[in-house]
Order: sequence, then C-alpha cells, then structure tokens
Amino acid sequence: MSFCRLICPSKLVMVRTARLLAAAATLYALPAVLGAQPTARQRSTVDGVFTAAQATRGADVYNMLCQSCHSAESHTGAPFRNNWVGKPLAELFGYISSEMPKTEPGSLSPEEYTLVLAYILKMNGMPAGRRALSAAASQLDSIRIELPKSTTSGANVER
Amino acid sequence: MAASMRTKLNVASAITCALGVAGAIWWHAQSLVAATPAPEAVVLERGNVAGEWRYWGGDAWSTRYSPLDQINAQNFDSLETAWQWPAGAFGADEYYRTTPLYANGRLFTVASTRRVATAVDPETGETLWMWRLDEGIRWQKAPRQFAGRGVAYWNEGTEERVIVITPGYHMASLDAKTGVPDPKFGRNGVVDLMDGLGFPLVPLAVDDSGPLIISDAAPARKAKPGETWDPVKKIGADGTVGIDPALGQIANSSPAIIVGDVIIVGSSSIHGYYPIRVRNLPGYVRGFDVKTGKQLWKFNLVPEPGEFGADTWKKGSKVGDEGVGKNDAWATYSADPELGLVYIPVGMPLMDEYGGHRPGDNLFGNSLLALDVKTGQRKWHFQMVHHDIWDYDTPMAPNLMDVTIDGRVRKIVAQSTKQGWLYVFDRATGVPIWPIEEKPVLKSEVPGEESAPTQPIPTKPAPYVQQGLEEEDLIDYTPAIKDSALKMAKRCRMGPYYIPASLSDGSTPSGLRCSWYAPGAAGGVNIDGGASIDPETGMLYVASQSTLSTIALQKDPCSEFRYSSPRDNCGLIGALEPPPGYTPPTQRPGGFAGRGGASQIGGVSILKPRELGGVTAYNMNTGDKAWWIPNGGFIPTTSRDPLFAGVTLPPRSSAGQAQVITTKTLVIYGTGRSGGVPGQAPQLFAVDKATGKQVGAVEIAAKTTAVPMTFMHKGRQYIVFASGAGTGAALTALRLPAK
Repeated sequence: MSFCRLICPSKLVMVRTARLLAAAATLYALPAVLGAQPTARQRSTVDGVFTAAQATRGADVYNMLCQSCHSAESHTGAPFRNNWVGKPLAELFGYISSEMPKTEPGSLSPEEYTLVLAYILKMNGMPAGRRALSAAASQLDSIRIELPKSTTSGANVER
Repeated sequence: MAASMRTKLNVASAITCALGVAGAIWWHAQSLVAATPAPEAVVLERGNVAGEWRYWGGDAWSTRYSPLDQINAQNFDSLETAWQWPAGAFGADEYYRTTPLYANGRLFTVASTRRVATAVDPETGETLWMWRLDEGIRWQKAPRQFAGRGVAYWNEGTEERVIVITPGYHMASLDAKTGVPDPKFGRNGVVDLMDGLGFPLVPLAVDDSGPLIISDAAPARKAKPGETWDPVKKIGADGTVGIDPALGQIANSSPAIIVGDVIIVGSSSIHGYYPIRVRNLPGYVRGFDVKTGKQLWKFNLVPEPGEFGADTWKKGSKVGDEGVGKNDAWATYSADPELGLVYIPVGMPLMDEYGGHRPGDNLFGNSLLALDVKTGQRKWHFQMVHHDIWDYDTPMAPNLMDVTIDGRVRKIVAQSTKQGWLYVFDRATGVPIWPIEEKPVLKSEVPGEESAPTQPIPTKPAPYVQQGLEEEDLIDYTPAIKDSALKMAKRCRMGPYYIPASLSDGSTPSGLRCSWYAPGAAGGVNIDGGASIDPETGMLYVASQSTLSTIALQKDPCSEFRYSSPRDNCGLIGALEPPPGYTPPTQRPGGFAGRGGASQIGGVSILKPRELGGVTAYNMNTGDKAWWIPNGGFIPTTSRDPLFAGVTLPPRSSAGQAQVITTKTLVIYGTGRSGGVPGQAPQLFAVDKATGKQVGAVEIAAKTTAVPMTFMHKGRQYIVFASGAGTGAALTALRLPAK
C-alpha cells in the first residue's frame, strides 16, 4: 500500500519495505496470541517497541510533512510528559492520525503515521528494539507511554 | 492575441534592462538557435528573456510559462537526469521549497535552514559560489527557519545582482558572478530589514538554545544591561540586535520581486495555529533601491490609526493593541512593469480560526493589493475574505494575463486562493472582470466572535475545490448509503461555504461540536500549488487539492486567547501558567470529531467524487472550465463495510497539490510532496495543453517539493525541480539525451 508514498526513492526500497512489513506481521502473530492471555505483561515504550529503521524513516516523513509547523520542542520535554505519559500509545497514535497535519488532518497513510510515532518516541529518548511498531489498535492499546528513567528533559533530537 | 505582438508591446518599457546585458543576449541567442529560429525572441517578455527564468514565477507576471519546445510530447519520456545538486550538503532543511532562477547562464538558488544563497552551473550542477550570513539569535528564533522559495535577480549593463532575504530578516545584494556582497548596497552589502519599520532595535537574548516553538513559544527577549553570551549553555545575549521580541516576531519566506530599480520586500509572521500572545507585529511591504539598499517606501498591511482601512479594526489597529498582528504578505508577488504596479497577495490577521479579539473586516488581511512600484501608494485592493477565521491566507503570486473577453482585450490579474476560487480583476483598476457578489454567510455561534455577515463570492469562474458541505454533496449510491452519509454530515455544522468553527464542548446553541471545513487550512491552493498560464491562448492551469475535514475550537488555558484551535501550550517557555488545578483533558480531541477520519464511512468519503482538486484548466477568455485531471491519477476505492456491498465504488482522485508549469506545447507537473497515486514511483508528468490528456511521464528519484522551472542553456532545454527534506534536499536537472 502506500508505505513508500513519500519516503522511498526507488522500487527496490519499496520491495524491501514490503518484505520488512511481511516479516513484522509474522513476528507479531505470536505475541498477539500471547497478549490475549490474562497473565501477559503490559509493555511500555521503554521496552523497545519500534525499530531504529522505523525511527529513521519516520524522521524523513516528519521532515517532509510535520516540521514546517513543529520544532521538536513542541512534542518533547514538558509538553510530552504532561500530555502523554501514562496513557496507552494508541491514544497518541489516534491523536496524531486524526488531528495532524493540522492543515490536512488524516492525510498520511497509517504506516506513515506509525513511522512518525516511532520518531516521536525516539525524540523523547525511548530505545529502539527489534520489533517493529504496527498501527494495529490491539498492539498500540497494550503499550503504555513511559519515559526512560535516564531521560530528564525527554528530548533526544539531533539538531 | 499573438505572443509576438505582446512581446513587442512589452519591449519598450523593459528594453533598458535587456540591452545592457550583452552576455545575457548572447547566451540567449545561442540557445534559441537550437530551439526556435525566431530572431525577434531576443527581447524581454514580461521582464524575462525568453528561454530564461528570471523570476520565481518565470517572469514578472508569474506566468510560469516558457516558450521553449525542445522538450515536447514526442520526447518527454526520454528525459534523463543531467545532474543532482545536494542542497542537503549545505545543512538540513525542512521540505525543500525553492524554485531556482536561471539568468545569463547561471542558476541561482537557496539551501538549508540558514538559507545559503548559491549559484550553480546549469550544465554540470557544480556549485559556483555560496554566501551565507551568521544571524545569531535572529536566526535561532526566526519563525521561518528554512531555505525559502528562492532569490531575486537584477541586472544593468555588466552589473548583475542576486537579492536574498535571510530567515533572520536581512537583505543581501550579491554579485551574481561571484557571490560577493555589493559594498555599495546597505552596509557591506546587507540591509537589516528589522530597521526602517519604526521600531528601535535592541540587544537580543535567549533563555534556551532551541528554536521558536509553534507559534510563538520560547521567543527571544530584550537583553538585560551587561548581559553576555554563555557559549556552553548557548543562552544569554550574543550581541545581535533586533526589534524587541515583546512586540512579536517578523521574518521572511519568499523572495523579493524586482521591478525596474525597486526591490519590493514583504515579511512573514509566526504561524497562526496556536499563538500564546494576543498581539504581534503586523505585516509590511517595502520598496528599496536596488543599487543602494535605501528604503524608498513602506506600506502598512495593518493600517495605522488614521490610515485608510484603520476603521476595519474596531478595537484599534495600533501595533501593541490587543488583537493586532500579522496580515503578512508571505507569498511570492507579481508585477506589471508597464503599469508600474506590484500585486501583493496578503495573508490573514492573528490567530487562524478565532478572531474575537479583532472585530472588524481587518484590512488588508486576505486582500489582493496593487501598489505603485515607485511610491508604495495603494492603487487598488480587494479583500477576498472578511475577518478571516479559516486560515485562508492568500498563498500564491497572482497570474497576470492579457485575454480577449467579449471581444475586448483585457489586462487581467487572476488570484488563486486557499478558499478555492479564482478572483479575476482588471489589473489596472481592480474592477472584477466577472461580478463578485457579497453573499450572506453563516453566523458564528462562538462567544465573542463577530463573524462577517457576508463574504465576496465570485460568480465566475466556478471554484476548483469542494466548497463547504451540503446534502447534495453526499454519496447516494443507495438510499441506505445516503442516510448514513447524511447522518454523519449532520454531526457537524453544514453549509455552502465559510462555515464558522464550532466549540468542541458542544456548548453553543446548536450543540454541535464541529463544523465542516472545506477547503481546509492548506487549501485549495497553497504555496505548494498554484497556477500557471499560457499567454498565447489565455488558458490558466490551477493545481489544488480538494479536501474535507472539520474545525472546532476550545480554550487553551495557557494562552491569552479566549478560544484557540484544540491544543494547549502549557509547559512551553513563554506560555501562561495554567489555572490552579488544571490537568490536560483526559479525552483528547479525537473520537468522532477527529478531523481526519470524520468524513469517511468504512474508508469511503461521504463526499461524491467530483472533478475537483488536481489540475483544473480554465479558459480565461470566457471564464469557463476547459478540462480537469487528477494529480497523478486515480486511486481505486474499496470498502469492506457491508453498507457498500454490491456497490461499484468510483475511484477517487489522488491527493496533494500538483506543481505546474507551462511550455510552448506542454503543461508539465510534479505531484508535490503529498500527491500522486500511492505505490507508484515519483514522476514528472506532461499533458496536452488543450485537452489535459497525458502525453508523457518520467520517473524521478523523489517527489517534487516545489514548482519546477525550465530554461535553455547552451542549446539544451533543462527542467529543474526541488525534492526532499532534511539532509535529503536536492535539485534535479533533467534534459534530453545528447544526440
């Protein structure tokens, strides 16, 4: 679908991305089943819920479609802490995907919103992990937004 | 009217510029031998040498038209990449929004958030020179920290200048051959544009090392006596001076336009999305002498008390008055050198979606303004939106044309807008070509808001995007589908156009929590899109997007405004302290009122698919639509929702704003940063000017992010366009394979 709408320079990368997505889907089959069991531990954003590659690609989408309004400071540090810590990641995803970009809300694909979300988590000091973040509501609902203990300001942006 | 006739008419006024530049004419003559054998083309057309691209919009009229035809329908698909120029090598940018100029054998452009000015070899892509200014705090806290849309060019005799306006609001005049600042211009080649506006310049300081946060959080401030710079923490006073940030912020995003020896420069304000402070600096347009940098005149886009239009600010229009600010003319401009007029598309007043703090029509907000180039005196104006509460800034240089209407040759100016209409005027007098009627519009229900009772609605041409939302706009493939769509539509305020925002808590008499918003804040036309024309036929091609979303307001407890777009600024530097006990709402403004998904059932828009957005061609001799195409193609529509079972859904047109130019035989466009058909490789398209039929397409490395340009250099026609963001920003040059 439109994963590569904005960010992939060639078909080659698109094929690679499609494979990555397929791989991610396979990976998620098991945890999804486990997640249905009442004893399953709820994950949080400090557990490596996105991949470094997602955050990198998310930076590309962000630079192209978000940055003209948002410097990193508008969603890191105090604004991020006050609004999002303690909430399920699904809520942040829902907010971004229904309200942003302010001038064209909902105009990105779910995959692009997922990438931007990964980049926002990275900017707030969350660690990347081996599992890719997916836009599936069931997964996002089960991830709680927490800041890593080492992060005081919450900002981790390369300027 | 034939192009050659008009060419001759324009020669007289512009010949002083052209004759002095033997080099320019020589290059031009060389190149035209290969393109067209017409010797009379070695003249200025609308301020431009045919085959060059001396203005952001191609020429002073902003036609974005080139008479070149070496690249045509037969060979378009064989275009090859001549070179790529890595703008990102100069530093990261936002999305790269420049349209380079080509004059006298060189390309001129800008790069990076520092707005480095450069010249590039058109044949090889080699950087010929670069120039940048260290602006300290002025740059750090600039509201428009990006490469911008480009530069302006001027020449006389052997003198050639490139004029660049920096993010920190300085203006530099550079030798086009070397990039060296002109010592006769301003102070060592630079004019401080914060000077000359009537405000003292004060030493500046910062309390944090980051940029301004949307819209006006974490600003700079006036330095304390004796304050110094802390190089470790990067705070304090760094020795730069500027207008006291307590008055607001002022910057620039578009190039100046040069007419004769006058540089016309505007300004950009902060974003109006979520401002904290209910006052800011207004917009200004000024004229400067291109040789000395001396300020010649200043036009106040918020009229000062006593000036024409001040009475459209019922609570006062003085800088510092509550509610005063913005009306910045941030877009590119057009000019008619013969009439001596410059056409200024003006942005909106302070705060995009609520105007209770600024009752009145708020001139010259949302106006097209014609100023005398030499004096800055207002020749005429037309306000297209009264008391804007929709973020309908005028986003783009208007297009000047000579057309034949009802048997009379008319000099017109056509302004494309975010709100989806073309406003067409006699460009000498400002009289509408087709009647524009004041029509009653819906009244705002929001406390404190005095929305305008009427808005000017053009009777012609018909709009190019969806207007508002009414029952007849809804899908009605089956009675059940129609019922569902109507039920959804009625959850937000409906109307034909200019629907005022509702309060998100539903506390107004109607109880509605949202209003339909079409076009949205990004247009229609925005700076990414806009129109190109064909001076030979009188056709106008406007690129736009047709969208539907919702709009709602609520109180931001940490800003001075009574209502704002939903968000709070709490915790940001410079924001108000929240009231005691305030906690951010646990329920985000999402759910149904979520603006993106609110207009769809099972992934299908409740709007009937129509020939809107994309590229619309108008015959400006009649004002009628000639053809329409989507931006890159159609997207199949499918749904698993049982509501649509058994219904064949028509495809929808692709999104985003195309970026259009016109040549002798083609309309050429890129899809823009958010356009095109998902899954398809980025492409540059060529379509037939008369029919809109696609006649060529070539894959490109990345989507266009700005309007392309074209020129002839050493006998070969090039198309150059910007793409990318961050450090991936680049220019790409296409040309035909060597024979």
